Amino acid sequence: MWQNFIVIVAVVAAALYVAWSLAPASLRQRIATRWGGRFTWLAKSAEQSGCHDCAARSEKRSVR
Amino acid sequence: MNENLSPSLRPLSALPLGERSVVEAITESAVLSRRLLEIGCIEGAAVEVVAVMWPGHDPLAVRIGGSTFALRRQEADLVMVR
Amino acid sequence: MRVALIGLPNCGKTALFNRLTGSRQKVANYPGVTVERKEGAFADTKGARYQLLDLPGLYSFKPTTLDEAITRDVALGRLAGEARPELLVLVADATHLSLSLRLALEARRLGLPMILAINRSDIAKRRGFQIDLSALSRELGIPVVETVATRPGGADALVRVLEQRGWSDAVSLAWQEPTADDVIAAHREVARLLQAAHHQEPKRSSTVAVADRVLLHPFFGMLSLAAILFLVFQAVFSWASGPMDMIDAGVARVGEVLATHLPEGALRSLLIDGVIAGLGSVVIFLPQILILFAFILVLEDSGYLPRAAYLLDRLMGSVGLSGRAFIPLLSSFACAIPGIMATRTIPSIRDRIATIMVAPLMTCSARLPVYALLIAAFIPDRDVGIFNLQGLVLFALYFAGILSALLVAYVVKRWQGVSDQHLLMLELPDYQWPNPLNLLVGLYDRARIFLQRVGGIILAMVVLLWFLSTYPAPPAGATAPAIEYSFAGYIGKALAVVLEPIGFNWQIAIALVPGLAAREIAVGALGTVYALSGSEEAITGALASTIAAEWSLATALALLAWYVFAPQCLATLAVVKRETGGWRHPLIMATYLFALAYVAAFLTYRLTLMLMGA
Repeated sequence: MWQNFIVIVAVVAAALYVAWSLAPASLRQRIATRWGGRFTWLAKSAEQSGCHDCAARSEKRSVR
Repeated sequence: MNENLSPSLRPLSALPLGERSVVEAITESAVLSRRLLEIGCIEGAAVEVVAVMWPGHDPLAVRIGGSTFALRRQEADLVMVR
Repeated sequence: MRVALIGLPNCGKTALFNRLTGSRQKVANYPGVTVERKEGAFADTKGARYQLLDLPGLYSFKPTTLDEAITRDVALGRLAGEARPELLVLVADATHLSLSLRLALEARRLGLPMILAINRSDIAKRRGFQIDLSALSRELGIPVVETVATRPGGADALVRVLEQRGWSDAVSLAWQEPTADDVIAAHREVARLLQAAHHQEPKRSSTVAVADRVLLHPFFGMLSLAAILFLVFQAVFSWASGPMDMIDAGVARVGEVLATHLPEGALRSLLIDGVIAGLGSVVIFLPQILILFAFILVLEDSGYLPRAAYLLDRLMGSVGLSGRAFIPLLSSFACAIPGIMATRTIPSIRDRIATIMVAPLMTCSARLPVYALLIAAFIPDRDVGIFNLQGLVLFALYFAGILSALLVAYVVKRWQGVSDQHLLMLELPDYQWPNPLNLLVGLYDRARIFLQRVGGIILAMVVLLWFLSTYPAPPAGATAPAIEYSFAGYIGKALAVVLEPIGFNWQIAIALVPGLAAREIAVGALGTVYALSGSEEAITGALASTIAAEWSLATALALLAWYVFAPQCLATLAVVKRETGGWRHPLIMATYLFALAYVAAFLTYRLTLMLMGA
């Protein structure tokens, strides 16, 4: 029984994640400002686009 | 446009590979001549052709002011050298 | 204190920026425009903090590109939302100082306190460079230091100067754009300055000269370019097979462990058919992606790319593209998004739009898992002469992308009408040995990002897909695999109506939908879909053998053709919207790409069937 519970949680989380990632930036901003008080990570995540961490960019990190 | 220049002048695009020369003048052109000036194609500057493409020297690579630049033929045509 | 780095392109400004700020960097965009804004921070030995801005390289304060305009505007404090820097550091390349000094004379007129940093002084000195720093400083009226951005401690001289002085405030001059006469006068002044500072020009590097005799040669240069490209594609297949087998075995092992320890049920199916099968089929391509990136990074660092742009300029010009379009298009081989952003260096707006419209056709690295999967499944691992057949096919696919990009560019240019003058005027910098540490860091970053993507959006998509493919459960007494009765099954069958003429079965139809978020997801989706269809091999990770058994060659080739064109990346469309300022261009792009994909897949499918006599 607990198995099904985990599955349901996983699926719901996945659905929310996908919806959040695919939502246009403006929508994410609006949601983040409405709920931003409690979930600061939400606001931060809304700032970044889908490719914010993409290493395909040409910046090079230095090696000390 | 080029009628008043002395006959010993030729455009940069006609400079053979490996030959060095000196810039004499730049023909006016809206955007291109200004950029050419900025990268150092001024009167008296030494210039050398280091690579040319077949056929027709388009594009070519020239050494000017210590840097190497690739130029299209229509850009190089604007530079008159000795 | 707000400090900004300015300088010619290719002067090592970015290396200096990295040397000063280390990994404390923040990349965003300038307000209101789509130029990348690089900001970092560092502290001097006394603890005072500085905010450092790496401004785009420029040849002159009369800008010809968007990048240069941004630098000018920031330096003048004209850019809305961006505070004016309080001090400028002009980074000059010691190996060719005169052009940088000319820029310095222009920069002096901005009214900001300035320091001149002569970079790459180690390389230049080896070639005979000499200069009297104090004399130059006296003549210019600003402090002059030497820096070696590539060595630890190479920026110390600069930091020391920064912390010594009390800097004057910025002067609000009535700045005017330099005229052509100003430029000529500046060149003369630079000659005078260099003489007063007893400047010894470094001799031209003989290594570069010799290398260029081959690499810029009309015939041998092209040959070298082709050879380099072939090497890359061969390497992507042959060097990767060992690590790929290891990953495959690892994934299979995890699947086995889970299978023995979990009881039958939804969770087990989710983990094995969903997560393992889905993620496993994507993760296996990490070695190939890394090899591809290693080559891209090496080529970028080495300084070879402008030479390739030179060699291909005729070709680009024949379709009406600027020669400068080559490097942004090449960046698109990693990912179209930075390639599209790199088009800001193209002066002509029409050229820029044309380049943006074709950038997605350049085979981005996310297509690689799809290509590699299909090639591994359907193309035999044979040798044709000295070439590996699989590598050849991969090369052919990349080539198809490039060819189509050129054709589309031609069409776009014709449709745009009379075009402006094209600038090539591309600097060919000296060659550089790529820094191996930088390469490793770059690859590590890439691997990390890839795995984050797998563990993020791909995992989420696969979970969702598993859900949609498992429920509703089949009615009692059903004969077909369970997946056919699920949501996904129905959606797939509905889509298959449209996709059947091009040879796609409903499993492919299902996989293409999540693939819109990111191209590689299609591979993961196929992994999950086939696992749920009861295929044993898919669960152990050998998706290739599964589809080899189930699909016809015609279908596989049609899918390859589809992937060459299809715009399976919403993020790219979003960036195009941002860079072109509207929905018009991304919509046109998506439409023409889907149309091309469908037609290409259709033709490929039908032709293959015909040729095979089916």
